[in-house]
Amino acid sequence: MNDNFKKALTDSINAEFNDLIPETDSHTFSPRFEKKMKKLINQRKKPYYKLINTFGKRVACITLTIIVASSITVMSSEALRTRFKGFFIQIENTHSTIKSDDKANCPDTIEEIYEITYDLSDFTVEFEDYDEYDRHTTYKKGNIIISFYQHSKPSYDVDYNTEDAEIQEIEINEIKGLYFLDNKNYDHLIWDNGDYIFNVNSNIGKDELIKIAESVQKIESEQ
Amino acid sequence: MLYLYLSALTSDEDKDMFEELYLKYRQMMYSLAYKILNNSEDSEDAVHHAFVLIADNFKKIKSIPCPELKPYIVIIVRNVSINIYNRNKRKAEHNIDIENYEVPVEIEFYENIDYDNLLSSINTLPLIYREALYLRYVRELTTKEISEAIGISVEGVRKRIDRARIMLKRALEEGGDENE
Amino acid sequence: MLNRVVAIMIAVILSTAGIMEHKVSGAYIPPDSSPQYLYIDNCKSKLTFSGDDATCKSTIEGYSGTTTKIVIYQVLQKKISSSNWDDICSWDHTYYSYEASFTNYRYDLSSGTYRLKSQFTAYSGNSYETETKFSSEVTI
Repeated sequence: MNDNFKKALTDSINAEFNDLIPETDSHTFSPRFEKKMKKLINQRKKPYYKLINTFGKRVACITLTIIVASSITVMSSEALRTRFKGFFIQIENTHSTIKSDDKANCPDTIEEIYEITYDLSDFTVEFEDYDEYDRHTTYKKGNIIISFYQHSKPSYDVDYNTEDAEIQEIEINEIKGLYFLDNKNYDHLIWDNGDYIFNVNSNIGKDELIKIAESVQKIESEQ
Repeated sequence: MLYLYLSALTSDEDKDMFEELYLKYRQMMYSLAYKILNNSEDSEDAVHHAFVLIADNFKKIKSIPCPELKPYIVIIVRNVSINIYNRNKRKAEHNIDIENYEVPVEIEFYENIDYDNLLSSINTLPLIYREALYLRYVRELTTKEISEAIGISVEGVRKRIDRARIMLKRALEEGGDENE
Repeated sequence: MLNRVVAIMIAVILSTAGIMEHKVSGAYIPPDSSPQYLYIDNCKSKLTFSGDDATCKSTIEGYSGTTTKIVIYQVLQKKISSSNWDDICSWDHTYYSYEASFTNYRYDLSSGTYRLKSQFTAYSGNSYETETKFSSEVTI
């Protein structure tokens, strides 16, 4: 290591800071600050006190954690992990986690907006949630709900209710995707067009939902 | 392994030393913070946060020889204040113009440069870059230790040191040209 | 010295309990029930960073006409060791609807590995279920 360099750096820094003398016009610290600093110093002087203070809470946490941990253990021993049509699926008793298994060469965020072009003029938009990674719109007409998602692939990681459901392969505009009917009679379609993952869920009926899915098109660029 | 959050200052000696540092430096730290933040509440927060970082990394503080402690503490409170300032204003860190990204030069390059040239070139760098180089090459902290000492991310530390080295290389080249 | 002895004793008692979570004081504790996915269609827990600033987003879709209320509880966690996580901060909110989206921010985080724990409690009248989802881990 170059001694000249270290010396020059040290001298430069010291020149900046060494002429800092204790200020003659002192600041009177606020009671709030004094209290915080006292806590910082004193807490560190009495670790025993701090432990006893939180003992009750820690026991409560542990009890809750044991209950949760034991139920998780039971479930994970029954989980099935599989790769299927470009998706990574982890199937458990009551739900499945689906992620993208093919994240090369795709946008990290939503750069182009896709929408359902099937005529939904007699539906109202009930819910909208958009950010740079996901877009979600829910349409409603009477009892019919159509829920549409556009997900950027790297952040796609969703848990779905698949209790008593069977995930099957399906084709949407010649793209292979996933289909399942859940125990509330909602059909779900999930597919990957290379850039984004799309998902439509609805109780409108399978055939109609496939038409809706096939109508999804790029509308505009974000930029 | 069970993790128990015990204090970083476990011995009575540590705690007394910490309190001594606090009483000795708090006024100076407040003034430095105030110069950057211009607001007494934020400045007090900066001083408190700096002491939290000092307590969390107390082992490092203890390894620094007494006369070199002041610059180190100054650097911590200055950087904490700058972080608060940036968070308040949502300003991007000072961006230098890197037209073609150059691989930062290794320090061995500075082997053959005389002291005066080095010092004057170093002095052309903004202070936060000088501080980053100082922590890295004089105090010999790892990137991770620097990030823990001044409370910015590891990536932030890396970028700052890279930029500092590029700026220093430029300054040395310009300084060399002037001398010819 | 006595402090250390007591600390060690407590450590032994606690270590026999398995995983330990460092809970944020005064935190909302969701009602405990085994997840059954009666009232939840899908949910997501997302943690993203911009420099040192974290964005924590939890979203859930229930069933219209069935799910009447949703409570979302988020905890931003930092990794301490391979199986232990520290709670950094938490937020919770109640939605009187069957769909919800909850986003919160935390600034100037120190380097390390983080994840977002999202707990969703979905109600149908007085019945409810609680589902937990963790985001993927992010290292800054």
